[in-house]
Amino acid sequence: MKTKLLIPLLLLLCAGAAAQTSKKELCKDLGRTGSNYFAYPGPTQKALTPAPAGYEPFYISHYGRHGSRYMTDNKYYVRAIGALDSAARLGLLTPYGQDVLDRLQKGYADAWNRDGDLTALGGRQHREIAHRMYERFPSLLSQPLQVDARSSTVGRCMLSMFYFCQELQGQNPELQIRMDASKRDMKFVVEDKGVKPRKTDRHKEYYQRLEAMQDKAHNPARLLKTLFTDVDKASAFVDGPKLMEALYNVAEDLQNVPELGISLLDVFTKDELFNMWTCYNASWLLDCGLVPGSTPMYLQQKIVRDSIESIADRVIRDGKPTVSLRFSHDSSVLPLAYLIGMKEAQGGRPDIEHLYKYISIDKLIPMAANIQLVFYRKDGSDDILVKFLLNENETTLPIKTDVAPYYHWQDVKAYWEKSF
Amino acid sequence: MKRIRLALLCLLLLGGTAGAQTSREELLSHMELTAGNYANYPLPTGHLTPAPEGYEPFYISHYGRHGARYQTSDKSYRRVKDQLDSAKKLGILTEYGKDVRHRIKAAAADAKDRGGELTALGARQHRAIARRMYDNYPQLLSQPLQVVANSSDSRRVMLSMANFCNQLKSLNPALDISMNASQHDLYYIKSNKAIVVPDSPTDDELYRKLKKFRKKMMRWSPQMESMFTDPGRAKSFIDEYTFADDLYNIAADMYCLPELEISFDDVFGEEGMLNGFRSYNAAWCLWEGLMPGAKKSYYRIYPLLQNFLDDAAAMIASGGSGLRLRFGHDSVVLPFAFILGFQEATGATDDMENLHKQFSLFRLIPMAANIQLVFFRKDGSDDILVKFLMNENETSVPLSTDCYPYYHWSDVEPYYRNMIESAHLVYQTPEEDED
Repeated sequence: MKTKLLIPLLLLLCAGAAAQTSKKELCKDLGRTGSNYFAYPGPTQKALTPAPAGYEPFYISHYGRHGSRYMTDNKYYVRAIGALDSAARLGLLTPYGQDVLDRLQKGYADAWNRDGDLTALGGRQHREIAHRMYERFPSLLSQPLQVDARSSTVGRCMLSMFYFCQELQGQNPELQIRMDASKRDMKFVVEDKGVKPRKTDRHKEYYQRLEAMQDKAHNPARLLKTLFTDVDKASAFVDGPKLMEALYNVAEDLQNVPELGISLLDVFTKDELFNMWTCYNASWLLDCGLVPGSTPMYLQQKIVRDSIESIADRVIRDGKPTVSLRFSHDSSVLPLAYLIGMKEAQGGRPDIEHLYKYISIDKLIPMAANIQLVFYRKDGSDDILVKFLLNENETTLPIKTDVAPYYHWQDVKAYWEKSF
Repeated sequence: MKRIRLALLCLLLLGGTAGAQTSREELLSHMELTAGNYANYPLPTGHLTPAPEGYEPFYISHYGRHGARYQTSDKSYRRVKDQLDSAKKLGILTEYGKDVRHRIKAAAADAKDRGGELTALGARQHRAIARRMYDNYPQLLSQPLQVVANSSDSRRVMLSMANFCNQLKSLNPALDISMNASQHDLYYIKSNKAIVVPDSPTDDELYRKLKKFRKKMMRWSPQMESMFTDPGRAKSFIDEYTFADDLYNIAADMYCLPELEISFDDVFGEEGMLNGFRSYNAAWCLWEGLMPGAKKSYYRIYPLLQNFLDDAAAMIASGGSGLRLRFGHDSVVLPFAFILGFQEATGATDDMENLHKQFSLFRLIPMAANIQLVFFRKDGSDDILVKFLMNENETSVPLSTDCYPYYHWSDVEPYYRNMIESAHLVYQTPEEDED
């Protein structure tokens, strides 16, 4: 009885700790400062909590972001190379600046005509996630299941689905996998942009504060001195903050093409990276509506959450074990995590300048980010348990349970019913 | 299902006698082939000549069209529906016309928001082709092989690739398969619009001739007339040619959706379906430059030929084994078969009335159409043999050989490289992507 009381308390404590990322943690793994460019780190939790006695998994509902990708547009390469190339012609580049330019050109040559494409690492991430899913739930996945996979119509999402499914197929050749990426299904796969929540009273103020944060974080004075021999002359054709923004995007995306062996993170100090990251973090959370009083854009994803629920109910009714896979985007995973009630997406505060202390998106939407709902049942019982994994780590919802990290599906449904 | 099985059986027979000749009688007993480039993939004959003593397959290089699909847009549904709705309002639809209208509505509802998408049959076709590839070359494909696959960026093509690769993976989990669908590779996966096609003085005349021929082929059948109590009044707001052409496309696409169990063949009757087929047969032949006197638009497929040659050369030089898969479109398979010199794609004339007798789309670009080059080598010998497959049937190229259907790569490679070189390709940035 005592332990039962303790567990919820501990969970509450954990909730605060796990959802944020400290500056120290960021500096240890600078890739995290890439926000949504952060390459999938893999689960930190190696062993999952065993299900209560007698309960067996019979259904997995998986919702994943595409894996590592190239930038969706070459504009940042064009902008950064344009600035440094012009300076080189005028003899204004330092040797270090020249070195940065060489690296930029190498990266751009590889990225040319590959805007938004899944990278090789992106393919591997999905294979590995599928591989772990098989290893974690072999009693379910070794059956001759019918697997239903749907992806957004974007190429990188489709290829992510292909790699995921292919790995499952290799693990169990008996699986019957149906893949599709149809316009007809999009309302169950990606957020519905047609849902337009009304802007809140605080909307404008929040974005003004965000802009001020961004201006402050993109102070290029130190950076420009390392690149150019004469900053004044270079400033005639170089927009410092914009160059900084371009270099940040290029540098952070390079972690998704590790085969290239190029890094550009050294152009920034850790403080600069940290400061820019806090802006991107705040911007994502504001755009999604996870800050109190911000426009609730997460409502665009409600149809997806409802469909996850109704399909789970159908599977429970039918009783036939199966797996549903969906492949989508960061802008879909983030609101879904929030709507499900996952602790990592809760706790946003109006203090957007320090929002990273409460929510940080490297925990939520790295490349290949994913949400898994694993359903369990027990012979001779109607009780259905469900467990929630965020990026393959068990997580919690603000619901009481006597079998944490498992929840009674009826309780989850009741919570969803009243929460949004 | 029964219908499909029967069709497959018949096709086996047809394939056996094939060659490249098509008779009216054959078509009449295989109406499903009149769907032309919508036709369900005909099963291969299954006849494969064993390789000469001591030769083993080590590399397959493949290009395949996506499988069965929905029509790429809903415009034919929309037009036909609107016209039949108007006729209904005017009270000039017969019972038969009302029945056709109901079927159109059902098919259109199924196709809604699925323009150009792969159908379930399309996925099955690709899995079946992969399965047969594995069964035909188990000594090669049971190895822990590297498979390099890429596709055009169109979703039906990507999904075709995924289904093909998944089938292979289920047969041999040790395969290491990479898949891609990047803008980066479109210059050879699709017709390369940057290549300038030289003008042909006879091209315009051929197009005029085609237009006349198509109008003649798409004349209304008696059944179409019988859809209206007053056909004359119907024709005052319905363009005869467009209406028939739309209906033919809808009728043909139904062969991609056997689960729907809807057919419009009755609207045309046998003669009408044959004529629809002949209309598109001649059109494709001209569009892709396969008709004598036409613009050589197949120049734009040379980068694909180059890619086949270069990849093969690299594989041969490496001494390794592998599988190379490419997935694209009918607008590539057809001219590619032509530049390779396949018997099925050559010998067309501008006699549009009779063209289908020696040039038949269903032999070339049914749904899931594909071209495979299978390479063989022999221990202790430098000689490399290659075999050409059109839709999995052995075919010929215009070179002499002492071991047909196998050809010596030392004859094949210089022949094609010389062909590309003598085309003196000119590149120019295209104004607008035409696709």
